Amino acid sequence: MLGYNDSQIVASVTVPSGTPDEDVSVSVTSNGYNGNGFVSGGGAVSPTGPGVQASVRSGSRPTVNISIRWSGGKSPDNSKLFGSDLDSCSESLGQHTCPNGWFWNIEGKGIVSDDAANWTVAQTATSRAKGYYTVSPGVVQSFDDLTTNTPDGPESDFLQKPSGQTTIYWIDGPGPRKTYGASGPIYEMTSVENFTTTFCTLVPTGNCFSIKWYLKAVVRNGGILDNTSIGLGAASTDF
Amino acid sequence: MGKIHPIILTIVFSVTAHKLVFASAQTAPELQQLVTQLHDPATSDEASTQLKALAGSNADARRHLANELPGLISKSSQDPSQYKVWINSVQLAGELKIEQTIPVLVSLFDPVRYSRTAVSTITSRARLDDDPIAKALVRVGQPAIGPVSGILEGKDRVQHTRLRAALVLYNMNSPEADAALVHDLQTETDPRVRSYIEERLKGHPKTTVH
Repeated sequence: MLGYNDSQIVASVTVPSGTPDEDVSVSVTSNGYNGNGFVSGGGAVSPTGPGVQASVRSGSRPTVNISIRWSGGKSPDNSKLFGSDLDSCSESLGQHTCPNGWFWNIEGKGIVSDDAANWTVAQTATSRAKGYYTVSPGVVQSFDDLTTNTPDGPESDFLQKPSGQTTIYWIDGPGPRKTYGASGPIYEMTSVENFTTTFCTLVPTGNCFSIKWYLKAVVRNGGILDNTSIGLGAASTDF
Repeated sequence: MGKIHPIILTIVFSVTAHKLVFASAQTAPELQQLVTQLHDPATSDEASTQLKALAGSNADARRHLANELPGLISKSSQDPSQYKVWINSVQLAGELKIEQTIPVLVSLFDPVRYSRTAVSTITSRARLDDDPIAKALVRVGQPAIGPVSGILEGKDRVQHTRLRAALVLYNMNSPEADAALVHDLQTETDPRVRSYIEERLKGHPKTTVH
């Protein structure tokens, strides 16, 4: 060639749908001109230019809106049953004094932006229970139990996430038992259970949303539930 | 060269056999010591951990525990001060799937003896996390199906005990255990037990309830 002109080439790079988040390198390679292969203007010049770094990020990750109800009735389209828990004594939400414990039935709900089947739901529990149980008439023994980040389901019997729908439900019924150990009735006790329920998409991984909630119960006077509270956030285990 | 191989094999076999005899001789006192420590609440936790590891690969240790655990579970269940001994023995029975403990586990099934944990959730109760006897029977699995079915079908038993038995069978998660649940449904007259079994079996879609 006797001469040349510089021409700016503007090229768009299309990323196929479903491409995971990643960092990539983009470069331009000359195939030549007018049927001729690439000819260097002088010296050993590569037909491929230097790469530039680019990031591929999803523009619209799936999201979920999580909420919890702890009073009233279950949602009509929630088919999960508290009766699948052998110690539960009611199908309604709220606090229930059952034969074996003081349980609070809750219904959790997640409305996802895509498909319920694309999500996983996992819960962890951190708890403290401190108090006394009756060993024999007139004799009590102290206890102080702590657990940290224990995996806590929800198992499929208590989790509803049907394919093709956008609403996920889970149910739970946390609370203290009325006995401690083999046969010791609770005499008095303060217990706190702090929960973190986390929704994550299967793809992309790491796209997670959590809700924190707690249950606190106080038992006094030889085994009478004095008060109990439930709410969003975490309750102090410093008691 | 053809004559060297048998010689090498003989030497290798002799060394291996010697090691086995040595290992067995070394294990016996250690095993006895660990079992003694299992009886003591102060040392029971550590002994239990070591016994679990030992019995997982040592038939002698397993046989020894099969003889020892039924009596130890029964005896320690009667004394609250022996709680650690009791719970470690029950957990060993389940984790090592020691069939010989089934009769004592079944005899202690009712009334329920929870572990020393005050709080619970719907998941911990479904997994029987706080019910060591029931959990051990789940882990023993297949050989315990008959005796646990006997509890479920014992219509004179209290409802909660029968529900626990149903949950043990459900958690075994086997066709045979599910068949025992389905069998109970054929004669089940308690509506709560019936609905409980029917609802739980929905979690095992391969099991058909007629």
